Amino acid sequence: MSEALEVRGLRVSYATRSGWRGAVAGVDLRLERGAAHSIVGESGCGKSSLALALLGLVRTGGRREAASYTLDGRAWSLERPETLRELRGRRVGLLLQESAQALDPRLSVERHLRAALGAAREGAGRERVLELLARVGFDAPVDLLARLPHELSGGMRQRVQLACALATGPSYLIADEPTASLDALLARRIVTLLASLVERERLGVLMVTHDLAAAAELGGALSVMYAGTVVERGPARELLLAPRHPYTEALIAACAAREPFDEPLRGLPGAAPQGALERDGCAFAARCPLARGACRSSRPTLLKLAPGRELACPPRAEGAGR
Amino acid sequence: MSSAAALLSVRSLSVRYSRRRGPPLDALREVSFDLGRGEFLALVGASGSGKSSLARAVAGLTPCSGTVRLSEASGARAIQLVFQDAGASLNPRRRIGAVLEEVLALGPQPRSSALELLERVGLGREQLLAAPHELSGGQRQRAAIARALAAQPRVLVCDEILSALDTSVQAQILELLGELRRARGLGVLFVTHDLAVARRCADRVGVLHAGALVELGPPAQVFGAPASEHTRELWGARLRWPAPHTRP
Repeated sequence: MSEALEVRGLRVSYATRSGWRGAVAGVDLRLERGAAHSIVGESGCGKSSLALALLGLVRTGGRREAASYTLDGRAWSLERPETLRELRGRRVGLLLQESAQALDPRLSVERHLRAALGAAREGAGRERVLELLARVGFDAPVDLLARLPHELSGGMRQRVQLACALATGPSYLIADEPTASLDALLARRIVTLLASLVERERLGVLMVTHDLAAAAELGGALSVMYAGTVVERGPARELLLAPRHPYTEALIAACAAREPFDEPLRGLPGAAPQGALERDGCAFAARCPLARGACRSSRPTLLKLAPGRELACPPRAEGAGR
Repeated sequence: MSSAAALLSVRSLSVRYSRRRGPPLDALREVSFDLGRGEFLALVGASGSGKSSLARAVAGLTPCSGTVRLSEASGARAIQLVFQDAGASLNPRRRIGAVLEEVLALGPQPRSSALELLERVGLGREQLLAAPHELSGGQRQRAAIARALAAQPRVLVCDEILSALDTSVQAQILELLGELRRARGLGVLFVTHDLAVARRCADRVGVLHAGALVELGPPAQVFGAPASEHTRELWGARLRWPAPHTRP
């Protein structure tokens, strides 16, 4: 039995005044246990919609459909409420961006964790609470039990949230922008924690991020999204050092974390589209230096370029074959 | 920059917040530095190090002790603050053009038009009649910068203005700040939690720790050979770009 969360042909759309608008336009994704996979891309590329859909969630006014959804070798129907309840939290945990709203301001750290544990088992004890807090890197968890969310720093709140997500013992964790708005010390701490969950506890961790350096540090696979589709995929570090898709190249050229630091930053003119392209053709063609006629008429598919490397750019894929 | 050429001199700036319980909190302690004409000075530090207190104190938005002095005679609005949440400085019920006209009307003659301001920040006629919510995040941040420029500032204080923006849009805003510095000699005080932006784009970097300025100098020196343990720790913790030798 393959231990992986696998989705094929995933589509997410939102209702607008002018009909359904695609946010995720047919994405295949495989997240193995004991492996990390990061999704990068800019606002409106569909990365958060994709992450939520892996939990069977969709934002208000949206709908999702997938050709198949398989968890540890078993096919799941995302349409049945009872399978969704089993999936969310128990099989797949969720960690959101740090914000004051992620925790209930009236509940102590202990009450939060007891509630998270209660969903999984009866008589969740203090020992389990302390164990979870230790697992997310708190050295003196006892001192923390009675604290309210506003008495914690942003980084501490983020770790309490992670402890809640781990309470039910999920095999997979979806982390949506877990390092956004954290300072360097706290961001490092969260990425190190996620990496140790992958390595020591064999969790499958999917991280949605706009931070390319965070994806490099987490390691594992990297998917680059643009306008609701994956345009390039490969091992994170290899992909960042040798990108093939013109969009990935542009994103890296604009990234301040890229080294060496004396190379100038190059902004990508124009703005990323919000949602999927409604006509045929490559969504990036309008901003692409390599675009040719065929790019505007037929939609490129994600093709295997080399072991572990996939690319949706015909002009580049041909170049690589020579 | 030597203090003789300084555009802005900040001396012994301190900010103290009183708390309902316990002793008052010293958010900023005796911070002194100069900002040169056209200079990009980045201020970094961990959460709670006093970065935002410093930005607000320099912009005159929080009670403080010490002095903040501009070298040349300038109006009261010569130091302008741009926030992370660009929407906060734009009235949600006014169109962008009207917001700009309002600020321009308070200034001296001859003055630029709202359209000229928008063009200076890379926007155009289409945005004149737009409401803030109709703009993308990057456009809104440009509009907030245009609003600050309408006051004809000498110094722009930017408090985490890139945090909510995408990578490619961040690079566009940094390019815009570069143009404004070169063309108008605008001094930029840039508060950020992004060490890579400070390392890459700043003329000088200041490191704050527990309200004190523990280090100030060119970025290659501050991060390459840090004098302070806090700088070393902060820079060492940053999420790193992969090194080429890890390439398979």
